[in-house]
Amino acid sequence: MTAPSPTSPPEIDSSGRLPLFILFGGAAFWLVLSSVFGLLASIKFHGPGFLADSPMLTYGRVYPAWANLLVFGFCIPAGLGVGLWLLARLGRAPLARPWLIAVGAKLWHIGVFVGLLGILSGDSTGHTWLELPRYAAVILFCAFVFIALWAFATHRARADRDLHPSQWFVLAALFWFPWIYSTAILLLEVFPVRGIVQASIAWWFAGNLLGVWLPLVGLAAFCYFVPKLTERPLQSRYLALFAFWTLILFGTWTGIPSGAPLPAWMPTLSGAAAWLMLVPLLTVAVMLVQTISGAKTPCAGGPLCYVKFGTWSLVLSGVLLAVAALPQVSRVTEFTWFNHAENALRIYGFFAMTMFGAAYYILPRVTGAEWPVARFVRGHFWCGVVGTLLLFAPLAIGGVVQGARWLNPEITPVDVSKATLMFLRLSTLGDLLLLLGNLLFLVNVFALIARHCRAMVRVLYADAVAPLEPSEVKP
Amino acid sequence: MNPEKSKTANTPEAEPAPTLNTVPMWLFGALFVLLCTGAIYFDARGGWFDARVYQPYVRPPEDFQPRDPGGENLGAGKRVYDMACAVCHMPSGLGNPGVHAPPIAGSEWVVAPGPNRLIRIVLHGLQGPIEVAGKQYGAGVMTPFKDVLSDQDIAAVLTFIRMNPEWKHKATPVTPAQVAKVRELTKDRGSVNWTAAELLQIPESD
Repeated sequence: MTAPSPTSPPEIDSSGRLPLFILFGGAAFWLVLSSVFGLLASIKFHGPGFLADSPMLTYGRVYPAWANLLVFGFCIPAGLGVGLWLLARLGRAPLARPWLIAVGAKLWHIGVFVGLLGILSGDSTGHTWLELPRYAAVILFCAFVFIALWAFATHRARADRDLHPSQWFVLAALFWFPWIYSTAILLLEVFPVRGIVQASIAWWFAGNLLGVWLPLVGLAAFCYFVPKLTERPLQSRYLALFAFWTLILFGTWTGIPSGAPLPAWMPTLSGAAAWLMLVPLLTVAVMLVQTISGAKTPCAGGPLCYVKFGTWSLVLSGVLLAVAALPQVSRVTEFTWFNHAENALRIYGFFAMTMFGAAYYILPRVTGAEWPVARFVRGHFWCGVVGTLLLFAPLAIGGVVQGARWLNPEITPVDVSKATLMFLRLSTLGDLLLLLGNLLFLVNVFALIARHCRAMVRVLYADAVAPLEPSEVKP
Repeated sequence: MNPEKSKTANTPEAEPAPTLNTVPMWLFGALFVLLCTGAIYFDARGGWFDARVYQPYVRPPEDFQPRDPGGENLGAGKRVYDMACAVCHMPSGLGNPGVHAPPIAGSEWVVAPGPNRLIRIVLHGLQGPIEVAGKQYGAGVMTPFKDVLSDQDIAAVLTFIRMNPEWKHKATPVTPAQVAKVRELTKDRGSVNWTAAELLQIPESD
């Protein structure tokens, strides 16, 4: 097959306009909604009477609404948007069938909406990170596969046959999600396995989703944007290769907590894999330091700051995962807020921040216009950083305090809970800041899209009412 | 704030190509150290994929259950049997009429209520003839093993032949203490073989 001639970047960017609008617009909307649910769930820990009278707003429904809107509403569509753009940009070919990708993206958001209604009406499945009911899961799976097909078509038609490391990561992520999601849904919802095996499958899915899928997409963005924004070559192709293989080789074993009531080999292997995951994370840290070193990059809240903060959050969350896998540590941290803190750091600190950085770079190029409120970009960055730290640090410390007290039989459960109150209040503050930052993102994205649509309507209107040129009129 | 803004114009941007610098060796070192540590950790706590081993019970469940009596002697006894006995009595335990060796499998001498006569046969050997399982065996000689086998070995091999599930033997096990006692009682006998008539004078069990 002869490679077609490369398409210019502006043409590529405009080819992806519609699907990227839908993916990022929907993602921004679900993210804000998820933050609202997260805030409600967080408040309920120190104000148990808050909104407790409506079954829809009880903790058992608000918490899964937060978790699933965050991952399925925001992370995956945003990741798909970044991935599609990277495949088109690096392949130097326009997006294949943007209209059909837009249909797939709409279908995805409909699936999230149906799933949200299901969770709020009490239909959640009860498996962490998989609470979306079966009917929503089927829609989501079909939408993802549909979008992934056109992503592969885009990749196949690429003009630049050499692969950039970002493309490996995106392609692996496009295969990874359908595999883990279909396996989990089939074994938990369609042909449910029995007893404790269900828990091991849910843990495996969560480990793969948060420990492999998110890093795959985040590192794809990292490998492209860090060199691009610092205007220095990525260090290096082989480091990226090393990180890629060690990540997918070891990451897929993680996820089963150390004290799980499963045969000893499962948590033990999982713990060893969590330690081995330090290898790809160290590699990523080396890549970041070596690529940036010597570059003069003012970091004032632009996309690079987001990606850098995200990468360091990933490394730190991996270290926490490894430490918490030690039996001596997990004795204390298990069943405490520590796990939630590690997830918050990974999802908000790493993935969401990296995606924000990518979106702040991509969307102006796709529309050909600057951000409507440029200072919101910087405001969002600091809200995100402080919010993540306020969510993560108190919960991590609070988790250790809580765990140490659980181990002391002299302390009653009520006193254990009371000891965590101050940490929970601080984390609510973090949730509030994240909500604020996400609102800034939503306003910016929607204003950008609205401005573009208005301009488009104006052009169409001007075309329609323009007087006919005399030359076009037949005599 | 936007250092790359100048590049958004219509000039085709070159996508930055990654360098081809190699992976530093210390990363491979870290990988192998972690792999080794992980293997040691798994060996210590993983229960070797045994589905019955749960944390924190990292040993196989057999370790927590009472052993069947004589169980640990069966393996050792089989080794002694293959080394010392199988030459004449055959690995199958069916004996070899060519050298006047009676069978062990199904022999009433072997599954007797007590091991008193058996211990003596092994210690000092046996001079035929002897009747086993209703058949007469001629003038064969079994050599003494008192200087070859320890009390431990004799107890093991006798436990093995008295309890071997392949021969459907279900007699009681033999302890080294029982062997030591008989060895003490008969220490003046030297290397003189027993005869069937002599053995029949000795009570089968204490």
